[in-house]
Amino acid sequence: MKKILLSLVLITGITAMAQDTIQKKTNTEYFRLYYVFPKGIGNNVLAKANNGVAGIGLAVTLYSIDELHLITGYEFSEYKVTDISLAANVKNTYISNLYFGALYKIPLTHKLDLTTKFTVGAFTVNQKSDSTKYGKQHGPAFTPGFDVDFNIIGQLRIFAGVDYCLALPATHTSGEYKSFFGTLHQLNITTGIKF
Amino acid sequence: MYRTLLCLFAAILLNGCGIDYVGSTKYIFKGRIEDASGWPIPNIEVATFVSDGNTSDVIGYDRTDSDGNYTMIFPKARNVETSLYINSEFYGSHINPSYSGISIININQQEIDNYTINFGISTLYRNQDLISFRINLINLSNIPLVNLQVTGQLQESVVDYSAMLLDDSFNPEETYTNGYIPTEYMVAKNQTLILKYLLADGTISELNVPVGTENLTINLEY
Repeated sequence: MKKILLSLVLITGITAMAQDTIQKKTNTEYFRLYYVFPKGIGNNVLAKANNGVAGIGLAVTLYSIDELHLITGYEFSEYKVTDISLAANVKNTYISNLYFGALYKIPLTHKLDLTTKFTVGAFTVNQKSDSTKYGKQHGPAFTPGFDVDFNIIGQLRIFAGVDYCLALPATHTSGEYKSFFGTLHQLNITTGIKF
Repeated sequence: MYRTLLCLFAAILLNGCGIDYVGSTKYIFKGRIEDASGWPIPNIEVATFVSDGNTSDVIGYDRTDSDGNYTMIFPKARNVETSLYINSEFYGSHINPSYSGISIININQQEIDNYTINFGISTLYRNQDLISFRINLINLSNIPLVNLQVTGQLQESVVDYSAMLLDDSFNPEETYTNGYIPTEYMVAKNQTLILKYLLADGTISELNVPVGTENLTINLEY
C-alpha cells in the first residue's frame, strides 16, 4: 500500500512538473497560411449541387494573452457546380469569408499543440462562369474548429485541422428553397503553416 | 500613355457589361412534359433563356425525370426578356428529334408570385403524328377579319406566356391590332378542329374542320 501511494505521489509530481514545463514554453502564433479542402454538408446547395475544389486562407494575430489569441483572417474557396438545375447554369461557385475570432492553444507536448477556435465572418457566395458573373449573396458565418500543430523549428509550425462553418447568406426565394440557399454548412479540412 | 489609359478605361467599362443578376433572389421554374396520350416524356431538355438585347444566357437548365417533371432554379435577372425552351434548339442544345418543341416567350420576371412559375403540363407531339394545317383567308365581304381562333390538338411552337394566363374561351375583344393573324399550324392527325372567327362588324362564326393524315389547306371565305 505504501509503495502504491509513493508511486502515485511520484507520478503526480512528475506530471505536474511536465505540465509546468510545457506551459512555460512560448506558444504565441502571429501568422497562419493554409490550404482548404472545402466540402459542403447537409441539405443545401453547396452540398447537393457543388463539389469542393480548393481553397486558401490566411490569418494574423491581433492580440494575444497567454494562450488566448484574437485573430482576423480571410478564406477563399472554389466549388465546381455539379447540378445546374439546382445551382443555375454556371460553372463555379466561389466562397469568401472575412472573419474575426479567438483561438485558444492547449499544449499537448513540447512539440504538439491543440488549437481550438471560433470565428465570426462576413460570408459571400459568388457564382461565375469564366468572365460572366451571376450575382452575390452576403451574410454572416460562424465557424468553430480545431487544429493540431507540430513545431518544426523555432516558431515555425505545421498544422492540420477541421472547421465547421455555418453560413446564413441573404436569400429571397420560395419557402421551399429558402433554407436550401440560405443555410449553408461546410466541413472544411485545413492544413498549412503558422509562425 | 493616353491610349493606354483609354484602353484600360474601356476594359473596365466592358467588364461591367452583361446581364445584371441578383444572386440573392432565386426563381423556380417547373412543370411537366407529356405526350398526346398523357404519358410523361422523360429526358426532355428544358432551358430558361434570358436576353437583355446585347447579351444572352441559358441561365436555367434541366431534363425531365421519369415522371416528366422538370425544375430549375436560377438567379433573378434585371431588365431581360425571358423565355422557356422545351425541346427547342439553341446553341449547345440536345433535343429529342422524335418530338416537337415549344418556346414560351414574354415571361416577365417582375411579376413572378412567390418566386415560382409552375408552367403546368406541356404536351409534345411526336413529329410523325403531326401534319401541317394552313388557312387561306379570302375576304369576299370587304369586312376585315379581326380575330381567328383554332381549337383542337395543336402543337404551338411559340406560346406567349401572357396568353397562357388567359382562359381558352374565345375573346372577341382580343384583336390582332398589328394586322397579323396566324394561319399556319402544326396539328395532330385524325381530329376535328374548331375555327372561330370574328369580323369587324361584330359577327362571330364557327366552323368544324375534319383533319386526316395528310397536310391540309382550307379556304376560309368571309
